Amino acid sequence: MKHFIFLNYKFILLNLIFIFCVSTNAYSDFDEEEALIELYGDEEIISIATGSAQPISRAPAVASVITAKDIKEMGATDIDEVLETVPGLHVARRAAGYTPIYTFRGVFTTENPQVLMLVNGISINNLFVGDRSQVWGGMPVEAISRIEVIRGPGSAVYGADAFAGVINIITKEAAEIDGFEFGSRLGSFDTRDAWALYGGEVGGFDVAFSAEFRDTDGQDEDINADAATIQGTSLAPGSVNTGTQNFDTRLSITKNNWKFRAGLQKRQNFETGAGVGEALDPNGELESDRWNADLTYHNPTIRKDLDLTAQVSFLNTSQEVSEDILLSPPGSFLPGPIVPLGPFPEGVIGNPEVWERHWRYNITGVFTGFNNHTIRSGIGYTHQEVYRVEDERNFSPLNFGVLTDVSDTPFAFLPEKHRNNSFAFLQDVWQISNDWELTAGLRYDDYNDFGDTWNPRAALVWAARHDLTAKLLYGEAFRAPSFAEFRNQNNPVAIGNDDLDPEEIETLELAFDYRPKDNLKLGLNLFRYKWDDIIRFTPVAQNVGEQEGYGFEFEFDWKVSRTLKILGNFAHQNSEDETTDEDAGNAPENQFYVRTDWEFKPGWHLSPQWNFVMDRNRVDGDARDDIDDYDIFDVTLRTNAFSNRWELAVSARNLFNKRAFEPSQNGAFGAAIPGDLPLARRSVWGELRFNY
Amino acid sequence: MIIELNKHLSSHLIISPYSLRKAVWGLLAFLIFISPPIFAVTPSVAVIYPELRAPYNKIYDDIATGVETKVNGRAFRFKLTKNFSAKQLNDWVARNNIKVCVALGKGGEKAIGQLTNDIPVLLSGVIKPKSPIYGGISLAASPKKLFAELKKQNSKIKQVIVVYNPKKSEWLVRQAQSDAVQNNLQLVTYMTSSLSESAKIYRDIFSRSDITNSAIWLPPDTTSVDNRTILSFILEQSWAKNVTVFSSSPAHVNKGVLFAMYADNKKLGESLGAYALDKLNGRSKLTKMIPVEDLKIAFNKRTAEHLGIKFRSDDLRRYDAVFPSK
Repeated sequence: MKHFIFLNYKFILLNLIFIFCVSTNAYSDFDEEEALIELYGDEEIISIATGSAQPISRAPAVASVITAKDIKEMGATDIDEVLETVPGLHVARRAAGYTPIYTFRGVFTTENPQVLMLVNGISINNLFVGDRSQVWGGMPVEAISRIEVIRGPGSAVYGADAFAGVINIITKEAAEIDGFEFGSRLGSFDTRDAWALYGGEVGGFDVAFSAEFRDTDGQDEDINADAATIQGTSLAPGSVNTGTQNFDTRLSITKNNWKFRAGLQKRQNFETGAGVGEALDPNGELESDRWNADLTYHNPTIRKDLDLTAQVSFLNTSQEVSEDILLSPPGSFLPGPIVPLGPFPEGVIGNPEVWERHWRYNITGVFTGFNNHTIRSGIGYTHQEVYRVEDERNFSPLNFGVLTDVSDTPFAFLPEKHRNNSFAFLQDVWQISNDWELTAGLRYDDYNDFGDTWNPRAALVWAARHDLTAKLLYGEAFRAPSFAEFRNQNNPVAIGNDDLDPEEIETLELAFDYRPKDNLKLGLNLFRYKWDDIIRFTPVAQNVGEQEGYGFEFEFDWKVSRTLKILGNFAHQNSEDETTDEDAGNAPENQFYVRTDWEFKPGWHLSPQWNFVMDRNRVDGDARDDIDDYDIFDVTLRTNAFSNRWELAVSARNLFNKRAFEPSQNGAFGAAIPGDLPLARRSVWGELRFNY
Repeated sequence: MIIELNKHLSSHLIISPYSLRKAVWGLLAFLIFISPPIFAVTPSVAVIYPELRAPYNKIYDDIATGVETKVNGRAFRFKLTKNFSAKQLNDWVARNNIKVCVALGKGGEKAIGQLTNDIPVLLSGVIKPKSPIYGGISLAASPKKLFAELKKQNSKIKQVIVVYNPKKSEWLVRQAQSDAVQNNLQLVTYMTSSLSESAKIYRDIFSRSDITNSAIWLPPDTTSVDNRTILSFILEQSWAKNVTVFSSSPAHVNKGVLFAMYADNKKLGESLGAYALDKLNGRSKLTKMIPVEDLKIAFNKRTAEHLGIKFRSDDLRRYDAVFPSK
């Protein structure tokens, strides 16, 4: 991989020497700070009071909000590390590309289209398989202001795919960045990160800009056997391939009621994880360009009692192959109708490429003119299309055994098609009495390819005491079939079916927010869900699955003293596949997470965290023993004690060097990778950031 | 021939990039050389404050920015580091022809005590200075503004109860007496010297039956109300008995107090800047601490709903922070 020259060790060392030479001692007087704390309360409130942060208002759902400060404390450098700390959410891995599987409350599928990911409220889910991208490559965190995670259904507000959960990533605006920030980070696996942020006023416009780079070879744990082992052609034992080069940039320009945002997430030299065909492929590489832009008009007082938002947004995303993808190594055969086909001396090669673009238009109004009611309503239209499909393979009937371009022929894996969606929604927040509030909402969606769907939700919120709030929530949601499920072709194990219904889920939740002491917050959420019409390839895609589950999440946040806080959560879920009456498998039944932040000297933060992933059963028919539990301990040390402008941090991830695995999937002839997917062992990084 | 001559002349007349650069540097050097006397003759304002870590630094930085805005380029900042010396500060004051000092925070107050010249001082960034000799603007919110906001929230309130430590808040409560009258409120005061005494007083207050039309004002003083015990008790009782509580601390609002007013630091800086200009011109008579009138408002929607206070989204927009997150 190419290395960014400005990220070499000498550069970092010189920077460190420079800091210690030029840094002035910040006053860092606890007395002085104590006096301000007495008035304002705590650091978070000071940030709000001085305009550096906003109080966070949440939807009446079971939600977690992780701020930029939390992200720094936990030492996360990628959103997957952040999301793993959310109660009821576990980040598993897919063999192909080690792409994340965001598993909410036991809802696990390999492609993971049951989760809606938004950036600044706009979907980045793809049409092709419904995930974020098969060439995901992670997402850096420096430009993130906060991440809001809603567990449970959100289709009444967000529409399709807000199914098991919604992840909304809010990026930093000009006021939050307030100047320049530069940073660089070096770590294990030859990982080099660099970023630059700017926030300020330029020519009367509020401008926020970010550029973030990552170049990593990725972790390289070994797997012992893979899909090609049975043929004797496997490259296993061998290491997984998780390298990538990422470039993420975002721009936000705001003036009065108008906001324009644009961004690019570029992925290059993205390696294939444990193999696209679950057989190790050390040479295959993919790339992706994800362009986004939106223009938003927001006028909170366009008329008396009326708040109006109008938005048009655009997303262009690609999945491209830069080095041939080896589905099976040299010498392998493919299963044939009568006898195996092959051998393929150069291996089985398949290079599927997809380009898609999405246009979204919507208008939302919030009317507060009626006493005790806040009415929110909106309409919108979405046009999405897979506008280009390229397919090159050496197992096409056109020219069997020779790498042949089958694009724009009936032998390609997917046709170029579009999807249109019109929607309207209405929601009322009704203040029934002083301590009771009812939210009721309904959304209608009409699709050109699978028809229409209605999705309601209701939330009853009771401020039971000054320190206790109880919520009862009901919601329904749908997941639009992906284009792969609708239209996959020439793939013997996954054939599309254009007669599919959307998947549906119904969820009932009871949540308590209890603050028994000034410095202690407790949360308890109980849930039950029923997931119907689950689409599975058999090998033709069909609505055949059913799953039911229940469980709870318990959270605590305890500020032990001004300089010490402890927070954590325990989540339990039990999900059953109703078609087999067996445990749904794969997802952890129990998870425990605890984190401490201790400011042991002014400006010095020590933040250890410990994550336990427990009780993951196998799916029905998988003869392997249940996968081992794991626990991973990380610790981060961060300081800005030398100067307000400079910040230093070091972090050890998986400090105790534990072995940890995510489940590989079972197949018709057993698991292709029987030993599961290994996670990274101990790693370290060091970071330096400068702002002015 | 003429062409050749022109070429020859132009090679001398046209300024090369090199000579242009020399000229610019020369001009800059000249400006730097003459600049100290130019600035030195202009009487200036100093803003002296401790350099703190984020996010604390934003409070003093914003006040300093406000001062600079008002005095229009005649202000200099002196950030106090741990190892600053009195000589350093005095030399800096003399060099910049400082005629008025605005000191912020405890550190600022301590530093100006080390000034050798008799320079007029304005103090801010504190609730109450250690030394009574300084005038300035306190971070304690103006009772006049607090009471006006209280009336706006609930016009039925007739009485405001305050439990205060006279050592900390006598000056503020004294001023609040006249402010209460102006807002048609009766101020009922209870003196306390310790948290245990405060606890007893609050227990007595909440055991009374005639507090329906009363509100409780929490003064900015942790010796009369603390977050752990007394505030928790007040919040529990006020919720049960529908009593309005207000304060000067946005953190109290986050915990359940109806509203709080706290300094808008940039505007506070501008007010300090205006007083500093007056002092430069020998006009100012600000010799005591006054509460800040440039204020922001934090509001607790959940508590307001519980108290039956009607508000619309337009009302919410005038608040700078709305709590809590649901």
